[in-house]
Amino acid sequence: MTASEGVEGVQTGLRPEKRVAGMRVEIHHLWKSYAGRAVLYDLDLTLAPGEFLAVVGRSGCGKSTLLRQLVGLEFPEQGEITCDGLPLTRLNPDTRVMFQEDRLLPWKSVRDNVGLGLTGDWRPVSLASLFDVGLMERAGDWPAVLSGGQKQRVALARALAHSPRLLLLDEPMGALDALTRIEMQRLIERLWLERGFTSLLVTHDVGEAVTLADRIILLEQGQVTRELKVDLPRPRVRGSSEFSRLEAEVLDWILSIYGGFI
Amino acid sequence: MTGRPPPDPVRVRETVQVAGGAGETPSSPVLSVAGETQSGRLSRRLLPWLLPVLLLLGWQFGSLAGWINTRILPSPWQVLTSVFRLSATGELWANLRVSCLRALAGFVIGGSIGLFLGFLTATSRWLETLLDSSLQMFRTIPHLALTPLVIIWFGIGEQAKVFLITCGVLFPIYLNTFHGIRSVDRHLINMAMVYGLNRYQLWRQVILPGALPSILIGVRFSLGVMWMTLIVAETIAASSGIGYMATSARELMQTDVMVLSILIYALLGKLADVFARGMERRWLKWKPDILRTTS
Repeated sequence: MTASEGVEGVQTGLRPEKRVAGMRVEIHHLWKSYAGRAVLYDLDLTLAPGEFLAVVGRSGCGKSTLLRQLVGLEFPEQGEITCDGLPLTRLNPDTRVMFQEDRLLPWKSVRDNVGLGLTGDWRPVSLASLFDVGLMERAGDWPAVLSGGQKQRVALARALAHSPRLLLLDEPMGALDALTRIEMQRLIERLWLERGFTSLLVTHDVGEAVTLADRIILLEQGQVTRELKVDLPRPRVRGSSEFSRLEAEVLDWILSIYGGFI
Repeated sequence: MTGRPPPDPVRVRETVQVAGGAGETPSSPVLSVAGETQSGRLSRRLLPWLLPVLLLLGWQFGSLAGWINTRILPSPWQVLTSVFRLSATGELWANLRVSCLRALAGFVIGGSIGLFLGFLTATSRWLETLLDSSLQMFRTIPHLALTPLVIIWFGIGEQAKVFLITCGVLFPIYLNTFHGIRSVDRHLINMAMVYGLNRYQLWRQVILPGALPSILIGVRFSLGVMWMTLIVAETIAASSGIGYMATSARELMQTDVMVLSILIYALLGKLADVFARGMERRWLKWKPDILRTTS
């Protein structure tokens, strides 16, 4: 299929219904340990449908473990996770993940990468998703010829092609340069606003958390220890006094953990 | 391993334009943007052939002048006439066919077993523990050392040759398949599982393509082993094939046929290499280094 056919497909309504109902996620008294060391420690957390939650914390605080439980790749020892009220007991089909690395399959074209795991007539869906991230003209290329930012946009298109109701973002902008990172943040925000999925962003970048999140939590030794609502209007402008105040507050949290070590 | 460096895409494009424009005035050397003349490009193409051609001419001249004893080393012309002589009787083609079939049979059997065992041990820790140490032990035996025993087992029939080639081909493919599968990026497998791929899809779309570069290295290596084993086996114990042709020519002091046999082996080896490269270009065209040379 050529790019122009794809455009027609997009315009003639082959495009999937974009708006989804965000998933409501509740985590009750979650325990998870590896080799006898507790990583998640009686964790309680609720994500409202369509909410954008940012999780900050130092490395090893249990962020990645939390994501693995939410995907349904691993299961907790105690406690439970419910999605829209139903307990999560298998791989969550309505959840998609964006990783820190793009994790594109180098032997598949951009279009086929985005179509990974889709069933039925997936090609128009894949192209429509690439259109949304502005890369439809690269559909036939190999991932190897794309830049880092473009690869990450393809990874976002791949995640969104499934119309997930929960999107997990595992530091997806951690490896990008500052400018590309801002572009990527705007893109994620725009698509999140358009579609309404629930989103959980794990990040080390406090500014990023304040830019994107409705709510920021601090994860410390497997527990939520701090929480902050961000009520700024979108799109948010870095450098406004309110933005800076919130940023400073979250930074303070993290520094206070490190304080014990310095 | 690559014969020549990958052409710089920019320069190739420019010189193609130059060649097109020079069609009207072929004699005038046109300067390309990259600063290379058409004649310069031509000489770069021909230069690698200079030494072989000179050698061949010197050899022929030396034979004609009587400096080289043609009973010890035949002239190129004699070798060429032996081609016509042997193909007229059909001897050459019959032997060539037998040799190729042996090589192919051994390669297919050994390759399949190696691939299969590689898949097994790479996917199951239990099977790895069971099989790998034994396979590693067998691997250390130089397969050509089996030749005397194999002659006793199978005589000088087809089985002996096919068996030896099978043994030689098996291990490079086994090792590279095992290594290829084991070294597929865990992150990609993890991602594919999150994206809901089932076991078959995971194999077909992630593990197999990820292991393919390594498997093809094994194939390429084992193609070399295949010809080497064939030569040895046919020289020692055979009643047909290129190696037999060379051995029987020795008894009649037909040095031209012996040289011809060596050249045929070289040609077959080269063909196998071209075949292996073709597979790499076809199946690994997503790799950055191959993308650069083909686009």
